[in-house]
Amino acid sequence: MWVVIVAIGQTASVWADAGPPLQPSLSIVFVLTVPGFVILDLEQPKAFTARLMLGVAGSIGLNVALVTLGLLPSFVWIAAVGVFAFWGTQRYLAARLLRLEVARASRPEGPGRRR
Amino acid sequence: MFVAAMVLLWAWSLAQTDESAMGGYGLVTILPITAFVALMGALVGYAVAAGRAERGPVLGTYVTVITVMVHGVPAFVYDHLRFSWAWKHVGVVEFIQRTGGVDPSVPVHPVYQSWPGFFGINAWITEASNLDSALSYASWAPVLFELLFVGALFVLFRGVTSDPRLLWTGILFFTLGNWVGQDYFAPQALAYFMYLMVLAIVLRWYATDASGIHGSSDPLDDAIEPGTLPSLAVGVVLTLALMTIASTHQITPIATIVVLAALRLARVMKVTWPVVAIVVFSLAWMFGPARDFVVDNIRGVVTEIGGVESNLENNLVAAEFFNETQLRISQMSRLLSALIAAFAGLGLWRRRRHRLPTKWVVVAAGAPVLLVLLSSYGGEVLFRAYLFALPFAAFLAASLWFPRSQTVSTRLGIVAMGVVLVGLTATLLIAGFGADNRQVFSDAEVAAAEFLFENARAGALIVEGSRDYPRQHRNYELFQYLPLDRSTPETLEGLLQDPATRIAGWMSDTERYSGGFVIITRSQRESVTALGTLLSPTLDRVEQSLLESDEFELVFEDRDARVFAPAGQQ
Repeated sequence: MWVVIVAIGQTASVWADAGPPLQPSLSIVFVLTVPGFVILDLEQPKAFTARLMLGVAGSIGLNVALVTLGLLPSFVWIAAVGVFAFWGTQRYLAARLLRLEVARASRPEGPGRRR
Repeated sequence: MFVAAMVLLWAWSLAQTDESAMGGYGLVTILPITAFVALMGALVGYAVAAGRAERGPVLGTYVTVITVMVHGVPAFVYDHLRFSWAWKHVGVVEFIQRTGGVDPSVPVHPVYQSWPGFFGINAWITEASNLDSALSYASWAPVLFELLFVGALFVLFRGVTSDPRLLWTGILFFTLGNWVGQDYFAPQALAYFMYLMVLAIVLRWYATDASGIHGSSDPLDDAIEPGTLPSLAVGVVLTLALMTIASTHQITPIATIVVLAALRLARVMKVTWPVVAIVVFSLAWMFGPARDFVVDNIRGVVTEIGGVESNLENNLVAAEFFNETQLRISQMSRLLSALIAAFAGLGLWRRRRHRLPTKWVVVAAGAPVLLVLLSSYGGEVLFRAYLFALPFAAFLAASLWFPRSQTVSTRLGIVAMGVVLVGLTATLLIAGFGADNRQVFSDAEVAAAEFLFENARAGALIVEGSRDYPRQHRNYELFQYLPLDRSTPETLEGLLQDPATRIAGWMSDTERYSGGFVIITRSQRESVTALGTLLSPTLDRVEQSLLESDEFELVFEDRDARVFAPAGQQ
């Protein structure tokens, strides 16, 4: 949910200002929100520094992407859709593989188990 | 407590510096002896603390303090932004602020218009902060980026070792071995941070069991169990980091592809999608927004592929013309690189003796060397390859002292580490900051540049002694530039016969230029003398000719800079 809110807010802030770069105050709030989200919401990793650095990298990455979106609208929209499609696909496949692995591990097999 | 005393002594020392007294070896010539005492105290303090196996936060405090002490000095001591190319980057930010976007058809520095990620976000930060120019904060970029590098390396090394001594000593070797100076206000600094984060994520969350990375660690409170899927957020951050790299810099995507592909081929990384993603993002960017630049430059890029010898020569041959001081500075940088490589080699040997996994670190340290096969990167590829390999070479170097958590330090080992750290720092201060007398600018030089870039008309020809002065920070795309030290021998020969008449002839060509200026500064003189790009009397002769000529008038003069314009232009 946080990701969705941040993404909508960031996108809104990009388009809120016709001129460059972006609508300042709204964006600042969301810039700060991204590391906050990563720091507070992540289950992994538990270490604060790792969460902080992931938050900073994520925030910079998201903002570079969105600023670039402002500079080069059509391309980045296409790229963003592509990224999420790619990411979703690999997550789906990974989850399927994990389920298969779990199913295989729980299957009774071998003479030891029969006993 | 001890480290706090060293910080106070260091801060007091910096307040005593006089930038105008800088000599041939740059920063070290203006630092008071107490600054060296403070730095040496912190380094020796670290060696003792590591030898006593102090807790991670203690060691981390030392490393953070030393990083700021070494790489933060310019921000604290110099009045103006260091490096003329950082000023140029401020100019690209100003372009986006002024025009509202990028324009790859701009003939001056089209490469920045084609990879604008860093400039775009800085235009946004500048505007959001209500600042007039990125100059307001650009001097602090090295401090920020070096601390970000420390943070990224902490995440990376924490995934491969639970020994705080190895972790923090590795980061310290990185900090002291980083003479390349890619932490300033530039796209590569941002892209390099992302590169470190990509490797941190990959090695920590996507490492195979066979790599031995997790098996070598003691149980950590945040250790990822082998086989656990990384969280969605980690994957999103990795994707964003890869996108940022692709849209921000030219060589970092290639380095990222090379290293990630090598880690995958060596079965260190258990997924292929990050390799596919960075390849797709990079190609999409190159043949999308950066298409014009790529098409215009493709022939040169293709020619360089596989040309190891010529790519290396491009990096080394220029040193033939250096003066003695610059030659020593250059030798110091090579010495520092060689020392890091030597300690890394010894550390690798010690890790192998202890039967610790080394494949992942050898692959990550070795893969960037392949960059030399691909490009000369404007004569910088050797330095960049070193920089991309440095984190892992530094980790190996630290392994020489702390191969495993049970290793107990001997007194001799602690003394040796103290000596090595002090030696590396002394070399770094010359290698990284030795050329500052041509890369740091006085009030007069900044005022001259302000005058020039504010008063020049669109289409003006700007004749410069060299590029080493605070240039192009405003309206940079409106002018044409002629740095004399990059002119052909024929042009220079013709110029020196009668400099004023020849330059007046150029500037009177109204079809090509709308007037112009000639700017000659102290930093330009230092630059052409140190690098041997012009014979030393050349700029004096040009300046004298302009002073004596009726065709030019002196429109700006201060202690370190003069600006000339055709008579009657102003």
